[in-house]
Amino acid sequence: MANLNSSVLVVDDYGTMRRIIRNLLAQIGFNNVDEAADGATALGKLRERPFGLVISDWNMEPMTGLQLLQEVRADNKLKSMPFIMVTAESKTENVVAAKQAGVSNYIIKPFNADTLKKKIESVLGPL
Amino acid sequence: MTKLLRLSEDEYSVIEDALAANARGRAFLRMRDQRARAIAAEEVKRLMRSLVASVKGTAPEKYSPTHIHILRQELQEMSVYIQQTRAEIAALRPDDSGNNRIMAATGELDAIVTATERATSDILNAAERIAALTQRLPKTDEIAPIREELEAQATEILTACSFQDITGQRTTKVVNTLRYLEKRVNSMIEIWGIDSLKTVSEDVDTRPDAHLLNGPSLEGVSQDDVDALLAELNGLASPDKPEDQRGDAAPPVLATTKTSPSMAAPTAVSPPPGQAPTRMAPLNGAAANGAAINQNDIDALFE
Repeated sequence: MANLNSSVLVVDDYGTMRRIIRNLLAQIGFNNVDEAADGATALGKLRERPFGLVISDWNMEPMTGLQLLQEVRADNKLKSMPFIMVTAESKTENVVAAKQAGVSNYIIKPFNADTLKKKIESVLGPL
Repeated sequence: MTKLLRLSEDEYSVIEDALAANARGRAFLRMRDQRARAIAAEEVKRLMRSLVASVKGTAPEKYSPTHIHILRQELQEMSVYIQQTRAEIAALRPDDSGNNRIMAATGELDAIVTATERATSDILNAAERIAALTQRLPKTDEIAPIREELEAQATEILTACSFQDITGQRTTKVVNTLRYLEKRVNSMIEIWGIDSLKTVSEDVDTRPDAHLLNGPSLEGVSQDDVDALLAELNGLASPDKPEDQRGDAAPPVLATTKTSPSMAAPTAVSPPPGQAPTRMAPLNGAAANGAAINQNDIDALFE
């Protein structure tokens, strides 16, 4: 069973996208949501305090979502962190690279609220 | 056969110096030089005659007049194409950088991203407001279905707004491609040295409203400026103003409002090199060829 009180970190360089995901998470029941505009900021926040889930975009600078994922998986304290990639990068090699880096699930933009909910459930358990 | 005697450089110099020591010796040396030059000249003439004979004798056999005519025609056409190419490249970068089409296209695309970002933000504000108002509706049996539908529609609006992220990323890719093309064109212009070349003539739109057909101006005036201008013009044309205050007055100068701040350009990211798919569910069709795959294919990878 997913814990709706756990913190979720939304990482995307587009403020609009962060806002959309934050709204959808609020509808699902997650009200403890934090945001980061790039991978480096996200990594800093993840090391500062505990989070229950990371939802990250791929295309960001200077640290990409994939690099963030690799950093998370290489960190002993963070390596088991549930990590969902939400991106417009829908090429097979991108999905494969993310899978090999240890992504928990992968959502292609554009997506709807139902898809986001299902992917979160597949990672955290029923909501 | 007797081997001919050869002098060393020193021996040659000693004999030459000895001959040059008196008038008869010097005369001998001059005659020797003249004869050597004559022999060399005759040798060159012989080679030239041989070359001319070779050209005269063989060219007509190998290349008929028709072939030569075609070759000349091809060369002329190539020359024309080269001139046209130079002119076309020059046309891409006119002297006035304000008219640079690639830069202009880049600016227009930046403006599209900015405008859609602003519009999306407005739509999100409205959707969030609807969602908030929905929460204030009474939870009666009669209202509940309407409330649910309103919430669902507000969510639809929210998720539909993600188009801005995707169009933004794709537009950025186009902008980056245009910038790459601009670099290459500039390099070609430098290589060809065609800065001063006359550019190709363009098809000119002679319609009276041609100046209005380029879409909104990036450096136009704001609505406030237009309102102020109209108010001022109305004031000038007002019948209750004295005659001497109308007509010839110069139009007011407007402050232009510039737009199109460049958006941050995320670059396309490739997967790490050397990573091959392993232990994955097999992909079929376009997906297996490295093309984009859909959410169902991805779900199969995570099952």
